[in-house]
Amino acid sequence: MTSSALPQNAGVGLKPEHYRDVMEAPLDKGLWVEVHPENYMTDGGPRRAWLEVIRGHRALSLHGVGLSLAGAEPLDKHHLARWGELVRQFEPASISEHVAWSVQDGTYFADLLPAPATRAALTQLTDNIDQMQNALGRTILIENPSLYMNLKGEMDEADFIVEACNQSGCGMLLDVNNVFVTANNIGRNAGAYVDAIPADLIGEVHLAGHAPDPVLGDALLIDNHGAPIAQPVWDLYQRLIRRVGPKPTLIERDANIPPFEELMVEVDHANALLHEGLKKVAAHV
Amino acid sequence: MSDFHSQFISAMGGQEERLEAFLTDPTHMVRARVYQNNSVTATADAIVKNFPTLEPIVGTEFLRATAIEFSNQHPPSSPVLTLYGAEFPVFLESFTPAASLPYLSAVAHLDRAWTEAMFAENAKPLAPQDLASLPDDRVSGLCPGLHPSTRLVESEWPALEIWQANRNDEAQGTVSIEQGWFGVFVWWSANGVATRQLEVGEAIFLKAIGLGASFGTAIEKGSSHAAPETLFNFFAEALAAGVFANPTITSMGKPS
Repeated sequence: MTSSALPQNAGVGLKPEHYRDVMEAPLDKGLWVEVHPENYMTDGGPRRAWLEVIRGHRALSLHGVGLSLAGAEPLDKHHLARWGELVRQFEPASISEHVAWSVQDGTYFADLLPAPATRAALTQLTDNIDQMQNALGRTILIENPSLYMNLKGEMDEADFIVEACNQSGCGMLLDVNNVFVTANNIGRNAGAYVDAIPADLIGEVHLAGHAPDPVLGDALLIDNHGAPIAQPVWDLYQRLIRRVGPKPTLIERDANIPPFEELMVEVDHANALLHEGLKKVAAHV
Repeated sequence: MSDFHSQFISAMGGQEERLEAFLTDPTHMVRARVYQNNSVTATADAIVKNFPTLEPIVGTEFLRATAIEFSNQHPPSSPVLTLYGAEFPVFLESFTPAASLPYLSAVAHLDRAWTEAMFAENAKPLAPQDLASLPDDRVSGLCPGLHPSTRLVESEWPALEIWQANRNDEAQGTVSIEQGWFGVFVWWSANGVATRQLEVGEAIFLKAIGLGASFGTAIEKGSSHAAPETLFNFFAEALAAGVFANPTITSMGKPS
């Protein structure tokens, strides 16, 4: 199960400054786009109009940041209703959210906060995934978090997420940069993590840049999506794709947005690695 | 609330020791600040982005500090940060460090109105051709209401002039800042968000329409401060600009 109808090519996080560039990009690259639905949860306006136009030409992924799946509270029904409205209007090829929380007692914390990998947290997470999937009538993908601290747990994070997928029937969005950043920050083996995820659970892959913490330096990497993708992350991605085959892969950039051409260089590089995998498969047939 | 989630929020608030029981490495307690910093940065960024006219007036550093103070008192309740900051203009009215800029709140109200107009429902406005075949008395009896994108900002400062001089990169000269009554109408037009300075009578007319009055009654009310011909001209201009709502003609003008 891949839980995703995205093309098995590279896509790009869609930013308003790139709407026109995306429309004009060559169609033969199979470029697809991903947006945070929260930026489109308005009654109307030009952003939604642009997305409607772009949606007519590109496969679309809705990637939420605010549903708080790993929260201790039931999901916000109002927010879920707005999700449903977007899903009905834009019919996205893929729907995803994070294994993180951001809402508590009516306050939105505007960050993806961590949850420990415990049995109790697993039950809460799978209940929330069930609620989201039932409300939207769609299977979702869940994304592994970037961690800045090592929380005590009752199982490995990879096992925790795979178990959540198995129990709820959802797929996984494997963020390779998050794997790298977390491994660096809490002393985990990034390669072993990537190797532990079953290929058929992975519906999408994320690649992004990170930055050293201003105080602690390289000992603490911040998942800021504000820099080009680092070479060790590309290496980890290549290791993954060689094992699992091509997967829809997103180039994410949410800060220090560069000219579109710069993002397309990373899109081309990801496509080259995806096609390298295809050539290898073809060579063995 | 689970114990972990509750302690994590306390740690983000500065009580980092609350996390000790949940960590394999107690030295990681200080890293709660990373999450706090990310959270504060994202909310402050949203305010700076949603009130772009304030930055050239007060400078980036002052605006960010103000945004952080605001977000501490009014944290977002929704992940839709595009619409975050509804209370910010009112917050500025009593924000002591900005007391030397008494018009700042009025300018923020205009930024907010601009955002609300921009993201309002895409409803089709009433157009001149919708009324072309109706007799005058029928038009006079219509109660269309205002288009959902419309906002009226009233203040005692020339907010629109200050706003226009700072909203775009090119400064448009100095603004003479004198107190008085200033009304600004903001709405979504065919060319994007539009603004117009109002006379008192025009504001009274629009407010009456917004409250459900008929065109005839609204013009009568506005006539207390403007000549009827002026208001008829304004009615035609507003109709062409698409500021009235568009209920179906068949149901309009009927006695209710």
